Amino acid sequence: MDQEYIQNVLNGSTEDFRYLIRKYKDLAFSVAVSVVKNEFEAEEVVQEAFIKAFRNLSSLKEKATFKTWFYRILINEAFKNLEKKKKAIVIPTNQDLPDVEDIEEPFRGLVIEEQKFLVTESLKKIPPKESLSLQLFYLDGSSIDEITNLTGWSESNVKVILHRARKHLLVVVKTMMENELIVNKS
Amino acid sequence: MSLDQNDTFVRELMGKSAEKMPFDDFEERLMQQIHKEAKTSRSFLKDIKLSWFFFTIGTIFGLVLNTIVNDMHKSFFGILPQRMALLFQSLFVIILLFQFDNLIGLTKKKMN
Repeated sequence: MDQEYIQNVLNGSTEDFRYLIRKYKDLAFSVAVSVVKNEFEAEEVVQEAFIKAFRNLSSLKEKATFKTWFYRILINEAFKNLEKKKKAIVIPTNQDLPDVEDIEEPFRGLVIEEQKFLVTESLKKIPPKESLSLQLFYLDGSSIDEITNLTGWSESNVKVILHRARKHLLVVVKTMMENELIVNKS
Repeated sequence: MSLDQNDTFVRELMGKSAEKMPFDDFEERLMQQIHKEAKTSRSFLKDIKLSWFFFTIGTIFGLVLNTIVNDMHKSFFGILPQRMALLFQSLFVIILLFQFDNLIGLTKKKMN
């Protein structure tokens, strides 16, 4: 389906690019937010990625799907944005992460809106590479191989990052829930 | 929590994290920029085509002038006809190569 619209755009029907924007903007936004941790900057990143994709559309080989190719541009753009803004996100390493127990029940006790808020905020508190790997693996359904292909990280690196990301997310969710409980109690 | 439990729960958590583009006018603003890009790209292509056209005209004109200068037997401002022809040919070749290089560079840029 994408191919048809891409061909139309290449043939001069610029308006057909809207289809690609409409189809990928939400997923692209999720991926961008997971890296840059800020909605306005994520919007900027997604916009720049779409413009670059449009400029270089003719270089897209038939074999590669638009989605994979576009994600590569997007991820590259997101990390470039991080570097440009010189954001230093200092978060403890794996050694400082304890095993997390018994958070499923209290989490499920929250209302859906609270759950969504908690997860979104927790993702903002973990390192960009970790949240990106979670985003791609769990939300987008990418395999380890695909993440390797998209990010340029080695397979073992992706596995390590994913492992650390899972632990990290659980620790942050737990901490935030405890803080929330303390605030509510007081 | 076991690894499998861990994985299942993280999957559940991530299911709550899907974010949607919160800016309603994003698509419109981006399409405006895309149209602008397309227009710039088209006019760039038109400029390149025009440049090649004038380059060809200029080359033909230069070759004709070269032939005329070669056939002249009068000296100009004390410069001998052979020297005049040599000077003219050198100038022609330099300009031709310089313009050709520029045009190739621009065309390659467009192709990429």
